[in-house]
Amino acid sequence: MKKITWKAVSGVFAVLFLVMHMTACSSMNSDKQIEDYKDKGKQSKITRPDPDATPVPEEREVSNFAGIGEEISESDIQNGKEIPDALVYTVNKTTLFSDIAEAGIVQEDMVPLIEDSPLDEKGEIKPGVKFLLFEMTVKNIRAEPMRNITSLYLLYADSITEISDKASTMSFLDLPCPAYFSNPSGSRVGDEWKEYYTYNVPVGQSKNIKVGWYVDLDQYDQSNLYLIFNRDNDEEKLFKLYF
Amino acid sequence: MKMKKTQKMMMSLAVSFIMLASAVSPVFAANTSDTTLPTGFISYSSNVTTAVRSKTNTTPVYIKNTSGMNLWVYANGGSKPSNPSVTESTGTTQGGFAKVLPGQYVIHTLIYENGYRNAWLNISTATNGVSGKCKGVWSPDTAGSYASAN
Repeated sequence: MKKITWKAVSGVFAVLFLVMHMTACSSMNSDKQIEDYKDKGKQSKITRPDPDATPVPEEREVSNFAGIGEEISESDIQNGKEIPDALVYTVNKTTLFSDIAEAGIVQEDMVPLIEDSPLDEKGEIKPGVKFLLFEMTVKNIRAEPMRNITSLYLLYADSITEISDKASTMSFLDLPCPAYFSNPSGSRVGDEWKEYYTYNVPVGQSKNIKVGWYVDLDQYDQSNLYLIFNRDNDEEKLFKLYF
Repeated sequence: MKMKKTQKMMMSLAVSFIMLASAVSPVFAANTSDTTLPTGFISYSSNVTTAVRSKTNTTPVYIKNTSGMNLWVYANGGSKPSNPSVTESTGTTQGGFAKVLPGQYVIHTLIYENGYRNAWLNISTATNGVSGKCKGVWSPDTAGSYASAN
């Protein structure tokens, strides 16, 4: 009887410990950032040509948009110089899942600290949050083999902003780093995984990869989400999501 | 026999209390995963800034500079303003700034101590006349030991 008593007490404290030891990720104070962004987005970026102006021969403009199955070149930076057409990405598929389980992914394979946590106080996925998964192929033409998948950015554009120019001149909102990457290097050590986003593609070889983000669709209209390649460089490309 | 049982019970309770006490203060995973520095053009008077990431402890910021240039870095806390200038600083870089040579370094900051829970970097080149594309990785928290940049 006495044995059961002190075991029961220990058991109660252990349960309390487990309940209270919920991992809480710090959340970015993005509310002001979002409001600032929305105010900036209300300024129209649409311009009209002057009918009286002297016609100027137009340079051939290459679209900076890409679609499913289309090859997207990315440059590499080596010794401060931009090496064009060093990598080729192809987005093969984009899927919006209710959660990572639906995507066949387990929690242990996620990045240890998910920025802007999708979990509420009870540790459950917030309403409106979905898991966006990109499946793509990356081919190394002449880039350094060690890569980091966070060179890709998921951006959100206000619906009234005309997107016709480089992302660097537009008003985009950066979403946090990916929550999932299928080909991490290194290994998890406790609650840390330093090389989670690092992967290796030897020159001349290709690799199939998956990259996933949690997206709060109560905050962001899914039709205004863009994956950007080659940001701030000459071959910048925007991949618009269609669902 | 009675003493042994009592001692066992006390030890068990003590361990349980310690576990409970540590559970009252939630432990955050340190944010040590490396993400890329922006690959935009930088010079002595033009800058790039990283995305804002969570800062979870008082360890220094980690940076690996593979740009081939010496970088001038402000390690800032909180949210990032629109179009931050080359000298935009929240005053949280110890010594005012960090000069980061090519290689792996830590930048000592007061970001977490000053109450910020997010961090971002403002990067330009450290030498007038030197310019090029930025390249490297960084993390808001550090695991391991590296040379100091400031």
